Amino acid sequence: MAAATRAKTGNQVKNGKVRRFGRWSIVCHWLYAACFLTLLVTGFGLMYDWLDFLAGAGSRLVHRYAAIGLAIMPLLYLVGSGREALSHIREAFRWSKDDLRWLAVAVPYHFTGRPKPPAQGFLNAGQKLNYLVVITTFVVFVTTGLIMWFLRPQLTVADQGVFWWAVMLHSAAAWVAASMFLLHVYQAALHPFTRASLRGMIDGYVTLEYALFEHPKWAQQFVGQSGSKPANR
Amino acid sequence: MGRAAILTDPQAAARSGADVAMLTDLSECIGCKACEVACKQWNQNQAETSAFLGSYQSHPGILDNTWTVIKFVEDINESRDMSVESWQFIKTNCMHCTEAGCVTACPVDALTYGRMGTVELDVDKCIGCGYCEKGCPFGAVAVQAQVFDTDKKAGKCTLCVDRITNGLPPACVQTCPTDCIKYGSRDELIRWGRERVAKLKARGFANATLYGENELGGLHQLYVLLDSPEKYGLPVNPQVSPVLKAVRQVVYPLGKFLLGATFFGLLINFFASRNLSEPKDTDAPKATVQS
Ligand code: SF4
Ligand code: SF4
Repeated sequence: MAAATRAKTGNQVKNGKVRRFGRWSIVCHWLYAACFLTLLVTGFGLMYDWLDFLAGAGSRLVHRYAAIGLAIMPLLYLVGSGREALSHIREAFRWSKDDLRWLAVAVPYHFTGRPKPPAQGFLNAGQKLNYLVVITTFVVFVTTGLIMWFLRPQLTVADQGVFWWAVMLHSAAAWVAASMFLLHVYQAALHPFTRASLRGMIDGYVTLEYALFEHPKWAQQFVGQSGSKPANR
Repeated sequence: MGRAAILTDPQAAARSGADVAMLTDLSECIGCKACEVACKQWNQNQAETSAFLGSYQSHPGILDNTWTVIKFVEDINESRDMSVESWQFIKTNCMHCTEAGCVTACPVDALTYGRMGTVELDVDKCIGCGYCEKGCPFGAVAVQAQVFDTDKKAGKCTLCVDRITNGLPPACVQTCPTDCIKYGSRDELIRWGRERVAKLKARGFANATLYGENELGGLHQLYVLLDSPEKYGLPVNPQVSPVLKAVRQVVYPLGKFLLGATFFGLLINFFASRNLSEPKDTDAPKATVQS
């Protein structure tokens, strides 16, 4: 196969596969995932009785260290991935009617294969939702976490409510993020429609078949490009 | 009525196991802090030095190793000659509430409703999160501030549960030189407190009142007050924070439901979607392929 060719958009095509994520984004993704999972497990130790073996002064310490990791990760991502990060985030906030239509049929579609949802761009509406949940819960985790960590001694009996609002938002965000996380992992690793996407978060490339199937508005630019012919056609 | 600190035989109380309480008659407290020392000594809590507060009060409030503090309530006439109009003391400590915010707050059940009406703290279970401190409406339990520490634990008055279950009165009760801290069955103390309040009223203390009978389902630390609760810095109608209650009663169950429903939804989808085929190039929308 020819060496990787750079499309005019800056995207790459290689061996019938198209580039989806840059190396640095992938590193940040997995580091964020590791911190998130650590935080989830050490946090849920306090919320589920059957996980109470995970609740202890030691796991509280791990929670605080992982929190620092989680808090700096988006910074590393933005600094390291620059334009790519910004364009993804911008896309996640750009919602069209097609996105809403996609969401409306997403559940039956992923169970039965129909009705066919509208064609999607680089991010489908589900992925956009994932981005938004990650960003929102990140902000909630960090602000309420800081209150619980550093402001507790300053809060008097009269402003206990501040502390409990922080706990409430922190734990609510944990359940929302955990549910989205389950869905995200499932779609990426198990669902027949989308499990081909996992490669995109490992070596950065996905098959053109998958790209055209799930993200046609984005992937059509690669059709006919040198080296873009699907390998098993 | 006479002076007596012990209203129920501690041996009999320990045998029966029924709810006991302490009642502090603030009309007779002289602010000597002997109880503070007795508490430190019996519970082997280190001395804690603190800055001068402008009064004879020893500490700004209850700390993780200072479980009872006499607070000084001074009414100073600043407009005239700075003379002290009234000088009152209140012995603060855990109230051993029937509906305890700290118990609701503790995420690891280190705080529980314990023996003889007490609220017990299991320090070995405690992870030092400080939730109890923010759940207590009286500021009666404390955990030190911490950044990366793992050794800080909650601390609060135990009502000397280790003494009372063995037929001894609490250490502070035994020490108080004026016998103003009483110990006995809760019912007995309430009866005594009501009588005492009636007498104080007859002597001209119109606002005298018995505190703790019904607050938070009934406290196991009662007070005979010479004046209204606010005067002593006590909350008039103490409540467990409604936000804390919502966290435990609404957010936790809803969150667990959301995550559980997601899990089972995906499990069902896993089987339902097994026959769906992975994307092939022919699946792509026609317009796109032809472009
Ligand atoms: S006074 Fe505070 S620490 Fe004591 S039982 Fe009540 S809520 Fe808990
Ligand atoms: S500091 Fe200890 S006793 Fe207090 S809520 Fe946390 S674990 Fe429970």
